[in-house]
Amino acid sequence: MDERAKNLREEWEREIKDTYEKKLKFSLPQRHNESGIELKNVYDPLDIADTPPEMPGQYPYTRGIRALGYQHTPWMIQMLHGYGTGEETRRRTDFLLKEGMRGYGEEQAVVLLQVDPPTTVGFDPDDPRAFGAVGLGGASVSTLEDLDNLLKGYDLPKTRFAPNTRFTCLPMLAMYIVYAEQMGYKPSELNGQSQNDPLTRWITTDIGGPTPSTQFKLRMELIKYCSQNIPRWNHTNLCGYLYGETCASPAQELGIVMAEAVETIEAGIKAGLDPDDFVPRFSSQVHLGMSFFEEIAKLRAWRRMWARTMNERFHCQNPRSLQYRIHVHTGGSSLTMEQPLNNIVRATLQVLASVLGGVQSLHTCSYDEAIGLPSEDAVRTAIRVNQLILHETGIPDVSDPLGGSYYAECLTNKIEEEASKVMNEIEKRGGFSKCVEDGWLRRLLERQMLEWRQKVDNEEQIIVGLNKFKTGEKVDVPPFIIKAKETSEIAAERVKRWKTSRDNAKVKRALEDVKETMQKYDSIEKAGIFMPALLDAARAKCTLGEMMGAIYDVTGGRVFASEYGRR
Amino acid sequence: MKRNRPKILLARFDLDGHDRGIIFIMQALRNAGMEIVYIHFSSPREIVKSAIEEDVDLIGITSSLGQHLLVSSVLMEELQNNKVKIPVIIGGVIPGIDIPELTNMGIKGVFGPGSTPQEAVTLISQITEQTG
Repeated sequence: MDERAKNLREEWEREIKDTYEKKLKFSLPQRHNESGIELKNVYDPLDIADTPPEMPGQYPYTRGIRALGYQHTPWMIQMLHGYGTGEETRRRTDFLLKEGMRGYGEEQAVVLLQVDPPTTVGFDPDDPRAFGAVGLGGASVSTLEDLDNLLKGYDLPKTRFAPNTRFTCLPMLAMYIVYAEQMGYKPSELNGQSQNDPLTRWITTDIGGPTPSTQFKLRMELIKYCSQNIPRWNHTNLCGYLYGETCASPAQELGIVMAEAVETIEAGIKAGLDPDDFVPRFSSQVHLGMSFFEEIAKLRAWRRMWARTMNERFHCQNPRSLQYRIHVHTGGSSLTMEQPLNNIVRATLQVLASVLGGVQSLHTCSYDEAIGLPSEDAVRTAIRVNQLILHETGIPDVSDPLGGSYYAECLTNKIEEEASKVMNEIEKRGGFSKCVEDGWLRRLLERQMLEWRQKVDNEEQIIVGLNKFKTGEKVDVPPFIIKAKETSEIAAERVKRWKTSRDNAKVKRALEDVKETMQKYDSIEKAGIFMPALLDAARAKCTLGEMMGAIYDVTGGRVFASEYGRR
Repeated sequence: MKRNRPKILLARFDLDGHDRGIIFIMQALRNAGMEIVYIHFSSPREIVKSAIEEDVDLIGITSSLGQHLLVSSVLMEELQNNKVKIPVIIGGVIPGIDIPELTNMGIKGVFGPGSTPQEAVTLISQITEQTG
């Protein structure tokens, strides 16, 4: 077999030489993909001779974590959404559910909630520092009343609640648990997800948050609390997406996230947990850009690298610790304002790559998102892209249809190699947190961004409609308008009313307790002592801003990533 | 008093996480020989205060959350209240239909999605040559 393949390859090489190089004077293109991997002009069996056979659902899960793939469980169509007040967002949630947003099927509602920036940082809408951002780019959520406006009438154990809350994951979870208590549910019945990856959001967005060490403590507290009290809660969603959006290559995205994963798991062990008790509830939100096969290979390599690391390094025994679940968010930065319908084509290719890569869940960007939040029409089309691939193409009828492709398999191996180099480099430099705090990671991303810009400016990288094939005509789609001023007034009014309708002596005591407990929580080993204080604060009707304010008070206030590691 | 190179204040609303654009602009302006002061701000008042203290020739702000009309109107008012005439430009996720309103406020240039850093450099050079 090898001999035959070798002969065929040589025959092909001769033809290239004779026909293309000699006769047609064509010099062979030499290409590198985004991860810097040199591409061959064609791949054959010899390129994957060392790749061991594997079936879907088998370790190390390159071909998918389930034997039957989408034939049994189609991917979740989860749309990240949120704007304005709780009621406005709820109207959008209901619209999306009607159009086909769903989990694996058994859930009644899926609320992948984007909150506004003040909520992610911990400012209530009546805080002057929240000026100009309330209800923009997400919903304003600071009280139990706001949660009720979002979730009223849902059977919470059958609701997948996943708020995107940056630095405020822990107080938001405390509020959700208390809201659920008031509705008559126990924490152990709840189902959903916290992002719990503030450090990534801190360096990639440069929005100010708690000091890095405080962020790390809050993360570990959340992991420990959930592992012991809410077994179905996905406590940590390591975010590769924002690295992709800041121009990290696919291999860099994977390598950075793996370095972070390893550091987090080591800390979890220090906090007194067994990896098999908390690793199964890790997952990732992954970026998906335009480099089609490279992105597919990244998803396959991601699962393999995870499984091997959990097996070889942490000796996990629980199969669920090894089976990594991936949610893709299609690349927002690949969208263009010019010729907006082209964005549907981009999203379609990205969803297709995700499906061929075997992901569990997808958020699909809408065609009008280069100018703002999506309209109903645009977001419906984004859902339809998924439904069309699922129901019209037959693509999900076979598990891992690209398995065995010389190119896909070889590229999967190469991406894993490149990602391992990135991961090793970060570990050699002292680990993920160290590389965040000393600015190394942010500098790396800035270099990547500037390099991208240069390639686009000199047309080395073509973006249709942006630097090539422009029409020159302005064909704006109508932007989706949020009434910023009205929303912020309503939200501020509400939280003020909330603050006058409660026992404020109780609030004060609860916040004092939050501060004292945060002070006592001086090392990761003590994880587990802080959440009870936050739960009591939520029961006392403290707002998200007040709980977070108490944390800032004792930990050094807000700091910006761009101020770290500068000369 | 004429400076030999323009001094530009670049400002980013501290709750707006989109900073790719301003990183590109910063690099392009530096390459064009301009001096950059970069600040985070949470209120337009902070921008005006920094611009006066730093005695800059132009203010560039970035906005990608949808707050551009609100923040710009307060910023322009604040400049008037302080009786300073520093030209202002804005970039970010700004839909085309909002450009006339921004221009009416007195904003000198709007760089929405698809704009290149070079376009901003060209306009800034023109403005600062006239006023410098």
